[in-house]
Amino acid sequence: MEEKNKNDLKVNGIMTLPGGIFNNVKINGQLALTSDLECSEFYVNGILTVTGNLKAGKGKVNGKACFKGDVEADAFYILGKTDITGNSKINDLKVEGQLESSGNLLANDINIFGEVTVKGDCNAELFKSKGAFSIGGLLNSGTVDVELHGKCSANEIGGEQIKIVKGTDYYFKKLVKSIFNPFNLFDGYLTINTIEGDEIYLENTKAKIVRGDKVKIGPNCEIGIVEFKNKFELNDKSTVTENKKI
Amino acid sequence: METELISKKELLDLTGISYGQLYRWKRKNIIPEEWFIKKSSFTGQETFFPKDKILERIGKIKNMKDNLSLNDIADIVSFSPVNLIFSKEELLKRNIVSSTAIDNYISFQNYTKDYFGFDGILYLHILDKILKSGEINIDESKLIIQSLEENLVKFKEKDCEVFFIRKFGIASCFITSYPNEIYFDKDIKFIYHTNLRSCIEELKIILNIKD
Repeated sequence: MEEKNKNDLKVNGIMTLPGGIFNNVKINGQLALTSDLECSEFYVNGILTVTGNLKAGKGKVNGKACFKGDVEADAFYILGKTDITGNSKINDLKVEGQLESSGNLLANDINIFGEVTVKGDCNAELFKSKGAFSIGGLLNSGTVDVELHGKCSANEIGGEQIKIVKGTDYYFKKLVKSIFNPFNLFDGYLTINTIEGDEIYLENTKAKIVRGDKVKIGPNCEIGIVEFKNKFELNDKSTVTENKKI
Repeated sequence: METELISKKELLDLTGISYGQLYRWKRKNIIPEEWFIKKSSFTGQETFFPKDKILERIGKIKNMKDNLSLNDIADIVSFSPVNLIFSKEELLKRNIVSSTAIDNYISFQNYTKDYFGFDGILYLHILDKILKSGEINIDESKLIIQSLEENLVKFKEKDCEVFFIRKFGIASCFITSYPNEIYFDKDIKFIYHTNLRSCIEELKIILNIKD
């Protein structure tokens, strides 16, 4: 595509437009697009609603964006709130606000500092979270690196290296905890059905089945069945109903 | 026509691959999503696979992965067509399909162009296989190819199988999605069936080697 033929789109008021192909899209007010949007870069400070598919190079959402269709983007940075009704394919996804996806999420890198809800499956090479997430289907990722803050949940996790650790407390949380004792009420934890991977380390996790090559269970875990091939370690503060070597 | 299933645990034991590898191959779409069949068991849900297909596929991946990257393997086994065009002479020279198949295909479809895209070559390849099997005559193969050409679009990216049966000498052909279970009444003679995904793979390998 030639850059010359594409125009910029800048909206400061309230507008409804048909979609189209643009170069840079910047929205400070409120924009509703009634069909597909294709652009090399978009920037939302206000509200954007797209009733159709999105195809973009780079995108940043400070306000609120709602995509009623599929999303394809190279880099997507969410500081505000974003809803995606369809499936999304994003190379580099960073969420510091809130992302809600009703379909499947396919990405290369996922970085979460905010909150992510995916109703379908979530595929990534690298899944890193320091926030909260909820995945209705399978989280399939090469590396899963999670620091738990708040409620995290998934139906299944599958991957090579899976590491779930308790989030470190920041100052205010420590203060609250010292007053209201004994309170691990604010601690993050993970609820899950099945975890399968090569190397697994878990903390603060409630799981039905854990299967892996090397499994290490850290503190505060409640696990139903552990099946391991090579190595199994269990912390005193955790309970495992049954463990067997295959 | 019940497909035999294998559980995930048995599969890993049998092939010696790890959970990580299995998930990575699933992510790359080398192992198609529809082969992961969820069934409930006494420990909750377990995943099963169609046994023959998955064992064949894993064997293939293990063979190929020394020479090719995972993305290359994904291209070979994926459903998506390769962008290429071959003329009739090239197809014959490279020995991709036989001349009988090409001549018959041209007469079935009143094909006027003298080049073939991926879809065309795929039909030629299937036709070639059918004719070489020796169980189906030329008129009947016309039936199969025409029904394939009409209906394949409806399956989109999904895998499907082509069945050819005879009852009291009357031939019939149908296409179903895969995995499935089909039962016939006992008078039906089951003549030929082929899986479309494996046809596409075969063809891609032939085209790759002959490059």
